[in-house]
Amino acid sequence: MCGAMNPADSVVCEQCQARLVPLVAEEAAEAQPEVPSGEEVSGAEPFSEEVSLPAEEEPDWLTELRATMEEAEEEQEPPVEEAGPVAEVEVPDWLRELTPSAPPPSEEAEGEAETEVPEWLQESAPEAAPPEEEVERESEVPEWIQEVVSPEEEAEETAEVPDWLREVSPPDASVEEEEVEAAPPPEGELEPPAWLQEVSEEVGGGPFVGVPTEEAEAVQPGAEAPEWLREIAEAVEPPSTPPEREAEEEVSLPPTEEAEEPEEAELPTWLLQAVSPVEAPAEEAPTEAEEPEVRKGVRVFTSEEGVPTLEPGEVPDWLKELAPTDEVPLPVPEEKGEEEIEGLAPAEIPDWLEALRPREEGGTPEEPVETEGVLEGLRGTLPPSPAVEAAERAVSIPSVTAKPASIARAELFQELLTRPIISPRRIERRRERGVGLAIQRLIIGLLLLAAVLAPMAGMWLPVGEGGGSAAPALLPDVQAAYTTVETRVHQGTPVLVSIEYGPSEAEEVDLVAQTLLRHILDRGGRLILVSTRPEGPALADRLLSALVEAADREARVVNLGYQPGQASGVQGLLANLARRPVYPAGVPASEMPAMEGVSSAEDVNLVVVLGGQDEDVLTWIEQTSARYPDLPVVAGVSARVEVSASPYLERAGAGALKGLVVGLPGATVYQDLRGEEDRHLTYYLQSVMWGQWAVAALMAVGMVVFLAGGKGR
Amino acid sequence: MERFGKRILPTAVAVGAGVLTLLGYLLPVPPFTTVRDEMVQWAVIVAAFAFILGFFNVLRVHLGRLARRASGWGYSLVLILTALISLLITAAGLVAEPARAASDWWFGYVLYPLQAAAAGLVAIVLAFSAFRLLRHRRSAETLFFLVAALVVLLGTTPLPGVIGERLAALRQWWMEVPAMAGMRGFLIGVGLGTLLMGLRVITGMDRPHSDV
Repeated sequence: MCGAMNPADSVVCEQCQARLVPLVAEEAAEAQPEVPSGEEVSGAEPFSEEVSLPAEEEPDWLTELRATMEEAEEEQEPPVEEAGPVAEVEVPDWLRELTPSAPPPSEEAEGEAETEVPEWLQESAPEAAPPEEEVERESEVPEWIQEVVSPEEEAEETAEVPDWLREVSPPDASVEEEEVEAAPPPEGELEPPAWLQEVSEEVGGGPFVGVPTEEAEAVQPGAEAPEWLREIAEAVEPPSTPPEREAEEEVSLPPTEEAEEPEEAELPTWLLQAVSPVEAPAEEAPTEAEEPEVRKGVRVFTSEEGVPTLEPGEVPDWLKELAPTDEVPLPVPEEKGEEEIEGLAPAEIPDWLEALRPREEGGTPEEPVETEGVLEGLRGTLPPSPAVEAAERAVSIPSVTAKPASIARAELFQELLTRPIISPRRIERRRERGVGLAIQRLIIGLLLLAAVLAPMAGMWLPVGEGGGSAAPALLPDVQAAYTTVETRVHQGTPVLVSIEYGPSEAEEVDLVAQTLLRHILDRGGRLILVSTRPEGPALADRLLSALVEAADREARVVNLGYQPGQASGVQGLLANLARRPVYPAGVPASEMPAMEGVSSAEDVNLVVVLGGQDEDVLTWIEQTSARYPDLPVVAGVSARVEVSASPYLERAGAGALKGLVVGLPGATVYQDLRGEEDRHLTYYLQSVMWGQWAVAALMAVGMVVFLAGGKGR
Repeated sequence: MERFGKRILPTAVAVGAGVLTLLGYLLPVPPFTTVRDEMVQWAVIVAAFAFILGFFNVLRVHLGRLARRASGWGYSLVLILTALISLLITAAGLVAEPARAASDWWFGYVLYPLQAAAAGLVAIVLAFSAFRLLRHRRSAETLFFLVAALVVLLGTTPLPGVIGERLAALRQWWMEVPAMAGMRGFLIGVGLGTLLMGLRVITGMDRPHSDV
C-alpha cells in the first residue's frame, strides 16, 4: 500500500494499483455476465473483474507478459486456461497474495465442474479437503458413505487393527482401492509444464500449487485437455472404480457454498482443499520429515521451497478460516504401540476371529514341543495331565510313628479277628451258670415267701410293747405328728389330705394313712382329699370307704380328685380349693358340706401328706411351707421316704414338717400313743419283720461266701 | 419366619411367663399375685393335656409294633387292650352312676393287685442283688454299703433285749447323721440346680421349649 488518497468509489489505488475494496460475492456475481466465453478465455483476459484492467491502464509488465503468453501459445499450444493465472502471477504484491486463491469461477464453470470434473480431480479433492469442510460434508452424507470416503478414518481403523488381525483378514477390495488412492502419483506428472515453471520463476517463486486452474475443470477431458493433463488423469485414475466409490465421489463434490460464504466463493473448492493443508502451518513451519512432500496426489511446496511467510496481520480472513485448526498427522501403523492395541474393545473382535489369534512361540511353556513320533515338532498336542502336575506340587505327608500301645492294640484286634468261633464247650458252661443263677433266685424267692408267711403259721417274733426296739428311734417324730393332730384338729376343722401313693405302696402306706385319718376323724375334723397321681382318687375312695360311714361321708369327706401339674398343680390347688370339681360326680366343691368355709389352703388347719415316693411328698412339703409358712404339715409315708423327708422335720431344724410317721413301725407307735391296737397292723408288722430278717441273713451269707472263697469279677 | 416361630416366639413366651410368675412370689401383692395364680392355672391345664397326649402316644407306639409284628408284639396287644378297657370303664364310671361299680371292681381286683405284685417282685430282686453284690464288685465301698444296710434293717426290726436296743440306737444315729447329711446335701444341690435352670430359662440362655 502506498497510502495515497483515492476517491471513495475507487476499487484500486490510482498510485500503486492496490485493491482498496475487498473481494465480495456481490462483485463476483456482478462479474459473472462479464465472464468471457471459452474463446475469450483463450486470450490473455483475466478471470474476473478484479484482475481485468482497462487496456489504457494496463502496466507495461502486464503487456509484456501477455505478449510472452501469446508466443508461448504459438510454440507449445498450451491450454488457454493456463495463461490466465500465469498472467495474474505477474501482478504486484497485493495480487501475488491472492495468487493461491484463484479468481472465483463463474456459475457456468461451476456447473460444468460438478458434472464434468475429471475423476482424478474428484479423487484428489476430498482427500485434500480441510477438516471444516469435512465436518460439513459429514452432516449431509450418510454415515456409511463417510466411513468409506474418509481416507483418514480408514487409515485410523487400519492402524487400530493389530497386525495379526490384518494378516488374518481376507484381502478387501476397498483396501486395494485405498492403496491406489493413497499412492502418490509420479511427481513428473504433477509438475507443471516447462512453460509454466518458467513463468513461475519469473514471477518470483511465489506460492504455487501444481494443480490445473479452474479453466481446466471446465474443459471437457479428452480432446480439449492437453497431453500432460491427460497423462496425469490416466496415471491417477484407478483401474476400476466400484459404483459405491463413484457415488461417494459425486456426493463429496463441493456444494454450492459460495453464495453463503462470499470469501470462500472466491476460490474453487478443489483449490481450497489443496491449499489449506499448506497454509495452516504458516506460523509454525513444519520440517521436511514431518510434512510429506507429496500428499494425496497434490504437490505441496514447503516454506523452504519459497513459500512466503505471511505476517499475522497480513493474512486475510478467508485464509484464516480455511486454515486447519489442528494438523492431523498421518497415521503410521508401524509406530502404533501396544497401548492402542490394548485399547480395542474385546467385543469388536468376534469369537471366530479370536480363536484364530496366533500364539507366539515360547509363550506357553506348559505346552512342550513333541520331540518324537508322528507329532514331532508340534506343540501342545499331548498336554500333561493335571493330576500329574498336582502330584508334583503335593506336599509330602510327614511320617507317622506308631506308638507301642497302638501297635499292641492292633495286634490284639488282629488276634481277635483270627480267633476261631466260640467253642460249644463254652456255651455249655454259660448254660450251667444261667441255671445256677436261676436256682439262686428260686432259693431266695422261696426264703422270702417263707418269711412273709411265717406269721400265718403262728411264728411270731418277740416285738414287745410300743413297737419293740425301734420305738425309741421313731417316737419323737411320731409323737410330734400325734401332738399336731391333737392341737390343730377339732370338731368341724377342715384338714387337707394329699393321697400321693399308688397300689404298689398301698399295702404299707394304707396302714399309716388309716391310723392318721382315723385320729383326725375321731377329732371331728373334715377331710378334703386330693391327689397329684392319677390313681390317687380311686385309692382315696377305697380308703374312705373303710373309715367313714356312707351317711356321713358328704358331710365330713370330699374327694377333689386328680390334680395334674406336679408343683404347679399343688400351687394352683392350694390357691383354689373351692373351684375344683368333686370326684367322681363332677359337681363344684363349693357346693359340698365338707367344703363349707373353705376356698383355699389358707382356710384349713392342717395338711396331711400320705406318700409312697420321695418326689410327691417333698413337693407338697415345699409348696405348702413356701406359700403358707404357718400352716402345719404332717406326713405319713413309706419307709423308703424316711431318708428324704427327715431333713424337713422341725426337729431337724427345718420347720416345714411338724411330724412324720414312717411305715408300719411308725404306725404301730402311733397306735400305741393313741392307746389302740390294730390286729391287722400287728400281722403285717410280723411279716415285715420276718422278711427283713431273711434279707439280712442273705446279705450276711453272701458277704461271707464271696469274701471268703468266691472270685469277684 | 421360621426362626421367629421356632426360637424367638417360644423364648419370649417362656421368659414372659417366668418373669410374671416370679414377680408374684417376690412381690406378693395384687396384681402380681393374681397374674401368678392365673399363670399357674394355665400350666395345670397344659400339663393335663400333656398327660392325655402321653396316653395316646403309648397307644401309637404299641400299635406300630403290632402292625410290624415286631418282637414282643403280643405284650403290645395286651397293653393296648388293657389301656382301652380301663379308659372305657373309668370313663363310664365317671359319666354314669350304674357303671361306677364296674369301675371300682376293675381298680380293686385288677389294677391294685397287679401293681402290688410288681412291688413285691422288687423286694425279691433287691434281696438277690444284695446277696450277690460282693461277687460282682468286691471293694471297701461295697462292704461298707452292705454293713450300713444290715444295721438299718436290723435296727428297724423290733427286737427285744439289749441287741435290739443297741441296733436301734445305731440305726438312729446312722439316719440322723450320715444319712441326713448326705440327703440334705443332695436336696440343696437339687434346689440350686433348679434355681439355676429357672434363671437360665427366664433369661433365655436355655431354650428347652425350642427346636433350635
